[in-house]
This record gives sequence, C-alpha cells and structure tokens, in this order.
Amino acid sequence: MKAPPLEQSPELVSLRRVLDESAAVPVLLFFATGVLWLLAGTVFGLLTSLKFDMPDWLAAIPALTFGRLRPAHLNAVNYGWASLAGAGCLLWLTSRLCMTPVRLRGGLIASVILWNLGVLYGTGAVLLGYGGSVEWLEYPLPAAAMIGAAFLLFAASILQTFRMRSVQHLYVSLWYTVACVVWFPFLYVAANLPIYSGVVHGAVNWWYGHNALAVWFTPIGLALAYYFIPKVIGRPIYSYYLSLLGFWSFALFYNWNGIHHLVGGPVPNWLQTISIIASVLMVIPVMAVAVNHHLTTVGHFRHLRSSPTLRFTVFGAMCYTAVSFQGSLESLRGMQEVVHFTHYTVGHAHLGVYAFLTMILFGAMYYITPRVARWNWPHPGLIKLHFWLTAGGISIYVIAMCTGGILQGYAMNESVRPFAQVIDLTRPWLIARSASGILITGGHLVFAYLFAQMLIHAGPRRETAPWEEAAA
Amino acid sequence: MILPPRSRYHFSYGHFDTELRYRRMNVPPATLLLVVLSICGAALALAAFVWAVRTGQLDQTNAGGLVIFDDEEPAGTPSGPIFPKRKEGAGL
Amino acid sequence: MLFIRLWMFFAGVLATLFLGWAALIGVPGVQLASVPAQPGLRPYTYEEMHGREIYMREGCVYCHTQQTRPQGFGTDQKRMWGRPSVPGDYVYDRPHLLGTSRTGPDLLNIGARQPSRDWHLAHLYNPRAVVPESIMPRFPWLFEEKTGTGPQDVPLAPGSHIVATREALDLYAYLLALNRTYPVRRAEP
Ligand code: HEC
Repeated sequence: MKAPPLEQSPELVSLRRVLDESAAVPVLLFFATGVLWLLAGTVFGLLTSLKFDMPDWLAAIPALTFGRLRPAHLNAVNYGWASLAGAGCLLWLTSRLCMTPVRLRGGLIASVILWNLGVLYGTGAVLLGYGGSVEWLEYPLPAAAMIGAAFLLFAASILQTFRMRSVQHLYVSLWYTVACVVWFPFLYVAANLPIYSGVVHGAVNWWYGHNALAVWFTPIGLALAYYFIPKVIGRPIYSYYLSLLGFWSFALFYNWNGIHHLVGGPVPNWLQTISIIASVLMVIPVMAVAVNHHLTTVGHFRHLRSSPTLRFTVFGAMCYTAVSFQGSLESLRGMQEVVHFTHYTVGHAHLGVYAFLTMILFGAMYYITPRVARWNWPHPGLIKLHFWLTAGGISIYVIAMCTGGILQGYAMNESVRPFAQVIDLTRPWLIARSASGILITGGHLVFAYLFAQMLIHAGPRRETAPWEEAAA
Repeated sequence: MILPPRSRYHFSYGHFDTELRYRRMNVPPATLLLVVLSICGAALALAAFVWAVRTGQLDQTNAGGLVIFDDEEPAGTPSGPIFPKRKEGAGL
Repeated sequence: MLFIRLWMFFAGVLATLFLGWAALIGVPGVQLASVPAQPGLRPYTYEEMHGREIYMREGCVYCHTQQTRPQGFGTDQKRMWGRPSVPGDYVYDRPHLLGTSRTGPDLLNIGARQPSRDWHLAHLYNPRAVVPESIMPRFPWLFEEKTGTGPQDVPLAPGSHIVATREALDLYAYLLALNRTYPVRRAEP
C-alpha cells in the first residue's frame, strides 16, 4: 500500500508509551479479574457438563445441582470473564485509536470493583438458590444494578476518551466500540425492568439474551478483529468501504433477531417471522465482515505461525463467519422444528461466545498485556499449548453438541420413540462434550498461569522490549 | 416407556383449528403499524444513503484503513508479540 | 469524512436499537397487554406460588420447557404434551418459565399427564428409581429423614422414614397446577 499514513508525527513513538501507561492499571485490573472469572466459570461449566454424565455425583449438595450450576456458569463467563476482559481490551483500543490517554481512570477503578462485586453477588445468589430462572437475567436486581452502574462508569470513560481524541478519522473499530457502550445500558435497563409477565416477558427475555450478543459481545469481537488482523499482518483491511456497509447493516438487523428463540412458541406469528427475516438478513453484515477479515489474511498465513495474537484472532474471525451462517440457518422454521430445545443450541452458543469471542479476547490479550504490563510473554511453548487445547477443545465441543443435538431433535420428533431413548441417544455426545471441557479447562489453566507470570514479572525475559518488537 | 400413558388426558384439535382460521382472516393492527413503520424507516435509510453519496461522504473511504499505521508502526510491517524463531525451523 | 456530523452517528446508532425494541417489545407488548386469561385458567394458589419458587430455585427451567408447539411443528401433541399453548395460558406467569431446552419432557401439562403424588415425590427424590435412564438431578434436600412419622407426614413409601418437606409438597402442588388442557376459548393474536 502506497498511500501516506494519515497521522505522521515524531512524537508518536513516545506517545504510544504514554498511552499504554495511562491504560495500564485499569486494563490490567479488568484482565486479571476477568481471568479469575474465567477460571470460576470454567469450573462451573465443567461440573455442569459432568452432571449429565454422572447425575448422582455430588448430588446431595444443593449449590451444586445442575439447575444452579448452569446459570452460574453462563453468568460468570459472560458478565465476569467476557465482559471484563472485553472492557479492558476496548479501553486500550479506544486510547490507541483516539491517540489520547485513557480518561476518568478513578471511575474505571470503581467500575472494576463494582462490576466484580456485582458478579460475585449475583453468581453467589444463583448458587444459593436466589436465581431468577430467566436465562441471561438470573441475577437479583441489586447485582444487576451494580453491574449496570459499573458499566455506566466504564462507558463514561470510553466516551470521555473518545471526546478528547486527537485524530481526525474514526477507525471502524471505534464505531463498534462507541456504539456498544451506548447500546448496552439501554438494553440492560430495558430488560431488567421488573414490569413484564407472561409471554411478553418471554419476548423480552430473548430480545435481551440475543442482544447481549448483538450489542455488546459481538461488537467487542469485531472491533478487536478489525484492529488486530490488519495491525499484526501490517496491511490495511481489504475493503474499508465494505466495513461501513457491514457496520450499518449489523446495527439495523442484528437487534431484531431475538424472537427466533421462540419459534413455534406462544408468541404471535408475525413476531417470529420478523425475527427469522432479520436473522437471514444478517448474511449481509456477516458477508461484509467475512470478506474483510478473510481477504486481509489471505496470502499472509505464515504470520499465523509466528504470531499468537493472529492465530487466536483469525481462528475467532473464522468462527464468527461460521456461527453467523449457522445462526441464520438455524432460525429457519424447518431447522427450528428439529433443533429447537436440543443441545444444538448449546453448541451454537459456544461457537459464538467461545470460539469467536473468547478466542479473539485471548488474541487481543496476548497483544495488549505485554504493552501495559511492560513484560514479555514467557514460555512461547505454553502459548501454543494454550491455543491447541482451547481450539481443539472447542472444535470437539461444537461438533459433539451440534451432531448430538440434531440426532436428539429428530428422535424427539419421532413420537413413537420413548423419551428415555432420546436420553440414551445423546449420552455419547455429552461424554464427548465433557472430554472437550477437560481440554478447555487445561487450556485456561495454562493461560491463567502465563498471565500470572506476566503480572509478577516472572519467567525468562526476552531480549526486545514489547514496544520495540514491531520490526520482527 | 417412561410413563404408562395415563388417559385422563384427552385433547381434540377441532376447536383450535377453527380459531386458527379465524385468526388468519384477522390482520392485527400491529402488523399494519409495523409495515408503515418499516416503510418509513427504509425511506429514511435510502434518503441518508443518497445524501451520503451526493455530498461525497463515501469518497476515499478506503484510505481510512490506513489510520492504524504510522511512522512507528508502518504499514507493511507486522507488529505484536511473536514466537521466537526456533533453530530447527518454526513449528506449530 | 463520513462523520463530520458526529451526532448523526449517535442518533443512527440509538435509532437502530430503539426501532428493534419498538418492534419486538413495544408493539407486541401493546398487542398482548389486552389478552385476557383463558377462561379455564385460574391464578396460582399460595402453595403453588411457593412451589413455583422452588422450581425456579432448583433451575428446572434449564431442562424443561413449558410451551407446546402447534401440530405440524414437531410432535408435541403426539407425545401427549398438550395442545399448542397460547398467550392467554400464561397470564399469571411472572416471571415466565417458557424454557428453551428439552433435556426432559415439556411440563406445561404434567399435572394432567401425571397427577400421582407418590410418583412425583419418588421421582424428585431419585429420578433413577422411577426412570432408570433418567439424567435428571436428585433433590434429596426437599425431603427429610424422621425416626417416627406422624399422621400428617407424607413418607416416600408406606413405612419409609423419608418424608417430604413443605417445599416438596408445594413443588408437587405447582406441578399439579401445570394443566392447560382446557380448550382454547378465545381467539388470540
Ligand atoms: C438435568 C436436567 C433436568 C433438570 C434440572 C430437571 N429435570 Fe426433570 N427431567 C429430566 C429428564 C431427562 C426427564 C426424563 C426422564 C425422567 O422422567 O426422569 C425428566 C422428567 C421429569 C418429569 C416427568 C415428566 C414426564 O413427562 O414423565 C417431571 C415431572 C420433572 N422432570 C420435573 C422436574 C422438576 C420439578 C425439576 C426441578 C426441581 C426438574 N425436573 C429438573 C431432566 C431434568
């Protein structure tokens, strides 16, 4: 590419260090607590899965019954791990793209504390039996209020940093970032209002559940992928023009998808149809993003070998394409008739929040942490181990759950088959899922170990400083 | 069998099907409202798009992709942490 | 460049989400606000509400749905799970417990399908004692062991020392109330 860089100034070299320093404390706090929730959430998840295989194991402890562990897992990994780590990444990214230090840092510290207390309170409440049984909205209201307030503090910091920007052009990652911090509070408050009942509550539930992905998690993943793929490869994205189309079609269509979770249910037909149409329309933004991410990478696969960030991010971006097409297909009535209510949905959810989002978060953290912690990753071998354990684990997971789910769905729709047969049919696939869970847990332990080494500056130091690594 | 079928439970479809037919003839006002709303929305979006093209908002968009590069981290150079090169050749 | 007018960006971003909210929540909210309860449906009693809370506390919703699909869309009716449910069946449900997973069977009409108290108590105490293939959790903490059982105690089996607690009995009352087998009397949206 020949076009001259838009920002050219000699101070930039030192400016980057100033920016990283300004972001260091809040970002590391977000990351570190996020990793703790990742570990807790993984344990909950693994236990949940094992409960299917061994229902009589630990069966006398109320807090460890399936129906409490499952929501504890969902909430801990989403509001704990993915949200906290994602918020940390967005802070760093906003400062980078606005070329200005992170603002309102005091508020950010308060935000981390409040956020963690909220997740701790909420998850504890679910385990102790105070969960609300409304998926994604199980936390008691005080916990939700704490998380909401923490999010507002975080959003204020992002918006203030954005306001003080010293750049002319707003890079595409910034649109997603700024949009999601505006969207999410509206969504969270609207969904938590204690005013709904009956089927309207069901609609609100899934409007929220799907939109937590549409307006918070997916924008995080896309913002990071739009930055790190071109940045690590050293080549601008394939078509900036397309990214524009992608953003606005994403904003228009994605938040209409939610009611496809109730296809065939007691909500009005027109509502289901609208959501199915919107789900299919998602093909447009997904194509735009897919073209951009994949065609930027094409021809540069050798970097996958050398860069941990790229390896995780490209894996995540490929899974985004996969999960989105899967989602559009899955929303169709013919498909829903079979896979609705089965383990297929669980496989789909993990392809989204894990294989897409979490893998991209790992990649981003491999890039950001050395800069803010001023230390290099020790043990490159362990990073590779982390990648193969998690990538392998989640692949087995998704394949097992989706195959098992389809079989389960067909068997359930054969009314002559007794229900017990349906249970027996899914058993091997659930065991495969638990096996994949063990791999993933191993990967997370490795990652947590590496991250702790970074925090305490342990392990062998590599020659170059992180900010001098560019010319590798 | 999980359960011996307990036949206290009877159900006939006839009644519901009549209701279905009735429902189909009756276009809910919500649908009409929605159609009108979406037509307005689409018109607005179209207007915005025409405006954007007319006033040159979309010119030169592709240069935007370069703003993440500068002198320190120029386009054409990879960045970020890397696995150190191994003597036997980089493996996965 | 594109965002010379930044407020337009923010306005657009907010408008997209607001449109989605208006269409998916606002309009159906208005449309369904006037849906009356089906004539055959009655509000839950105190015991049933308490049982419903136990149902929420133990997370039954993560394995059991409470929504039955129309004929030609799955085989819910052939499995005797009940006629397709309509919004008027849920007027007293707060929060909703529609559910998304059928690891176990649909329970919208379990009260009609399986009214036996002994069956439910035995099943809650240990599902595998009743259905060997089951992967449903046990809920032993809904029961207590007593040395001598009084006349008002409900033992698991005649002569058993394991008796149901208030919680188990109320949960059973709720399961029994899950009965939407009355015919649909009103047209619904
Ligand atoms: C891990 C998932 C799971 C959870 C949690 C769960 N169940 Fe079940 N349930 C099942 C499965 C699988 C079956 C089918 C096998 C059987 O009858 O045990 C079932 C069957 C049932 C049945 C019999 C339905 C029929 O048509 O035969 C009832 C009633 C029931 N469950 C009630 C409950 C209640 C009440 C709770 C909460 C306290 C609960 N279940 C929690 C999985 C679960």
